[in-house]
Amino acid sequence: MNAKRVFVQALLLGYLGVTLAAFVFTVFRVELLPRRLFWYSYGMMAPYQGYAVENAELRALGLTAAGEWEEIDLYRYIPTGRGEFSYRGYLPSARFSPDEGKATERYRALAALLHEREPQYGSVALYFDVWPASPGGYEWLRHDPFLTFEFLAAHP
Amino acid sequence: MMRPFFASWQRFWFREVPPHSMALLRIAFGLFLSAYWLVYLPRAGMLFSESGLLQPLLAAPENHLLALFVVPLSPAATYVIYALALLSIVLFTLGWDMRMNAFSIALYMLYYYQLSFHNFPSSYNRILLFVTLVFALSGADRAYSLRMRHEKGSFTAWEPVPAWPQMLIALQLTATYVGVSLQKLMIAGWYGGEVLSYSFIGRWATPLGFSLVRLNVPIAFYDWLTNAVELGQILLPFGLWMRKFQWWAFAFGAVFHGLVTVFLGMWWFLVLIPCYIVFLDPDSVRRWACRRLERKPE
Repeated sequence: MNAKRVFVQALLLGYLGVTLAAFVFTVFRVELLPRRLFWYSYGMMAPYQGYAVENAELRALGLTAAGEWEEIDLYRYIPTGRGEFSYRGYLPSARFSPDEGKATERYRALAALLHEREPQYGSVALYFDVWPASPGGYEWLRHDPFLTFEFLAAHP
Repeated sequence: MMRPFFASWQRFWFREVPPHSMALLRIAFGLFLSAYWLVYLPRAGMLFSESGLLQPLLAAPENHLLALFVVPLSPAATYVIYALALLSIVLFTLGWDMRMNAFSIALYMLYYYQLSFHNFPSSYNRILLFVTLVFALSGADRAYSLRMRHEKGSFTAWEPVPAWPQMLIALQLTATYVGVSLQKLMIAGWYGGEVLSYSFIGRWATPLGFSLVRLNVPIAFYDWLTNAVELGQILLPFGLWMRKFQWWAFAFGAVFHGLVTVFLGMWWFLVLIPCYIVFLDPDSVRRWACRRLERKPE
């Protein structure tokens, strides 16, 4: 058996092992291998896992020289579809990181970065807007008294 | 006992097959990647350069060579890199230096992941990278390629290739569908029709999704739809391998991914439809291609 065939055989065995570990985790939540080894494969089996009865979006406000808070258009910086924009606002790589406090650190850094891009504001604040989903439209209930918000970070 | 198993193993992975299935998939996959890259092109400046709000996954010390690959660049440099990536995709599609270009595309995918897409870590991105890496190790340019035009004097000339890259993609698609269907049976969110009715008014919903929910049909309709999706997805991975039911499986998959696109805007999974070609017998694909595409006797 030549070296190329050995390499391919090893590749195939490795793939099957990792895929099996991901599959066992998917069904039984048992880790046959360290998570880092099969997590990529598990990600290829991860379905649309649930649903939310609320919509949520990242929102940024800037403090003007007149002392008023005004909306900063984040879609200008994250020019994606609505679903992707909403999902990106969660900073998933930070939220799902094993490092505690990573998400907070990232939101603070994001606020600082936005302040750099929008220097006309004395301060920039990030919030998560949350409102109930409605057949009337995506933002149909995005107003008082249905809208709530969660403060995330501000700079400075 | 081991000898028959080993013989089957060798036959399954290493038998020589015509390359036409992988070649046609290479072209379809390349066209999809081209469309995917072009969709993000007008927004590449904000999504991938220092003008945006990027927080790369990796950090590098200043003035270090590694910084070139992890720190967002100027918009001009970003567009140059983006154009080079698109060029690799075009050359991959045409079958010119396919392995090198496939490998380059995989590197570009990792680059954009660490720059931006780590904040949108979806299953389709992983599948795209996986399939690209398989192509980088395959003989998908042994038919319908500029390589064969250059080496053999004809775009349609071909050489047999080992089956394992095609079988690897087929196994991964199977694993994806099996995993997805089993999770749907276990996750509480999929026990009733609310998962669909709320999805059609959620962040992913298209205007058509909202219109459907505004029809105000009873929740029983969504319960039925959810059960139909779950049943179809359970049967799909088996149907893909059974010649008698393959085309029904292809049809269900195409309709399912089409409806996901139309109601939830998730068009990226449409790439799985041309991937179904890997489940067909490679000789049958070659004969069909000779008859229908090349218009010559088998």
